[in-house]
Amino acid sequence: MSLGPKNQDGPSFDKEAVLRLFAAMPDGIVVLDAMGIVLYANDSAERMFAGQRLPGKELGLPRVAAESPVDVEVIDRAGRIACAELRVAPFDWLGQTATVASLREVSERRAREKRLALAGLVFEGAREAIIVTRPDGVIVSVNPAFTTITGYSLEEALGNTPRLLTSGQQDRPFYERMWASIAGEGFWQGEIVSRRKDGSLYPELLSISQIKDAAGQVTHLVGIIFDLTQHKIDQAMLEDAHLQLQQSEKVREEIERRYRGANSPVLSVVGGMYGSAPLSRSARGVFDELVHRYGRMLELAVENLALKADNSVPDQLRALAEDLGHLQAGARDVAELHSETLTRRSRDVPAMKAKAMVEEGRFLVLELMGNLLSFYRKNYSRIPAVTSNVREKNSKAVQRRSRKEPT
Amino acid sequence: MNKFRLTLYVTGHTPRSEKGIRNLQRICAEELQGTYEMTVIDVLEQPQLAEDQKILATPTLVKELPPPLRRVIGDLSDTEKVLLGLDIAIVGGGNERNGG
Repeated sequence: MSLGPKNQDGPSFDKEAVLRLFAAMPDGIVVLDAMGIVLYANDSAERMFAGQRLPGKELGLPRVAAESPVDVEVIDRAGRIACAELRVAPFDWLGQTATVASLREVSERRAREKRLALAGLVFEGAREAIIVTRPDGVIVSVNPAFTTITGYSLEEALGNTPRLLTSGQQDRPFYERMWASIAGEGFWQGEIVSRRKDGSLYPELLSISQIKDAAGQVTHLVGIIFDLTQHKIDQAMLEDAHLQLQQSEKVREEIERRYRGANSPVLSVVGGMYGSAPLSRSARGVFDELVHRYGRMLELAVENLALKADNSVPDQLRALAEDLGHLQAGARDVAELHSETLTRRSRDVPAMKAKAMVEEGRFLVLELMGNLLSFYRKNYSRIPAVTSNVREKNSKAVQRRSRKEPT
Repeated sequence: MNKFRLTLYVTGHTPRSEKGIRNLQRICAEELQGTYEMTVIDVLEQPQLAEDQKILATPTLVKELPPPLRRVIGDLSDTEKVLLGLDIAIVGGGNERNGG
């Protein structure tokens, strides 16, 4: 095509009319010289560049194949960027070699294409099965996850209806309610059991939505299936774990109940369970009396040492060991008895005496333990496990015996 | 041989920008064989540079050296047209292309 005086031979040719035609075109039209300098730009082109006067400016030579338009970004004076589709053709402008470029604003179209492409990716990549049907229920599209979940290929699904998946587990009134909800609210969601192609049943969460056009007419229905098979397995495992937790809780409560029953604030949980509380805590009264008795023996032993007296400590120690044995005392009880006694007895005495008590106490406690061990070997053949009723019963007898002893 | 100084103006890290950069790299590697300096300018990051150069559209490739200054727009996929537009065959003298 050529625009110039030599072409003014057409019957209706009017140069001004042609320029007005170019000016009125919705696409931007730009004529460029061989260096890429703008020779002419129509109104649409100048609007694209935010009203800049383009003639004389260097746009650059559009080096694109005419048959394959490319997208370029058009930058206006405010720095705004629009996407334009660029097409070019060689052109003779008033006798000089030129290029005519058409620029079509495609920002919105490209954005829409981008959204559609994204929607396509979501459709293809979703883990949920997606079924698109016409309003009459005929399937027009399914995604790959549909095939994964149901076993039916796209080809098998197309033209069919979702009745393909009917399991018979839901009755007619159920479907009536479902369709009433879709018709009334445009939406339904619920849990149903469906059948795969191989005949196996599976639980699914199904959502059905109406798709409407701008006029409000329902054009499609979209069903989204979330396969609940794994979810149900997980749920069963969770319930199992919950049951086990409840059982553990019961055991813990039982331990606590026994713990409270032992009436001791510092009783260990396990100790409470088996009744093996230390004597000092489970039978404080009798323990105090034993401290008193053992204290006297300690005094006597120190006297024997200091005054060369001959108090009969070993017999008393044996009697004490027997009482401890009846109370099912252990090594810890003896150690507590010893240290408690030393603490009390050495409190208000001269340092020398306190030191003597400690020294003599070392022998005394070992002797007491030896006597206790002998008692157990003689009577039980082993150290008995503590049973609270035996301890309670024997505590009274020990206390009675303690009170009879001379102080 | 004169070294070519080429600057490519692109807009953001879009597939279109990347295509332009790839095409330019290909042209430089295949046709200019080490006798070039190539710079890529993102007009979103350096708008002033684009303003100074009065860049109206992207991708725009500017040949700053050797003279004459030339600029082409488009995705640079057609090597022959790009080289022709940049006047490179002419500037190269005996290095004229015979592919077109």
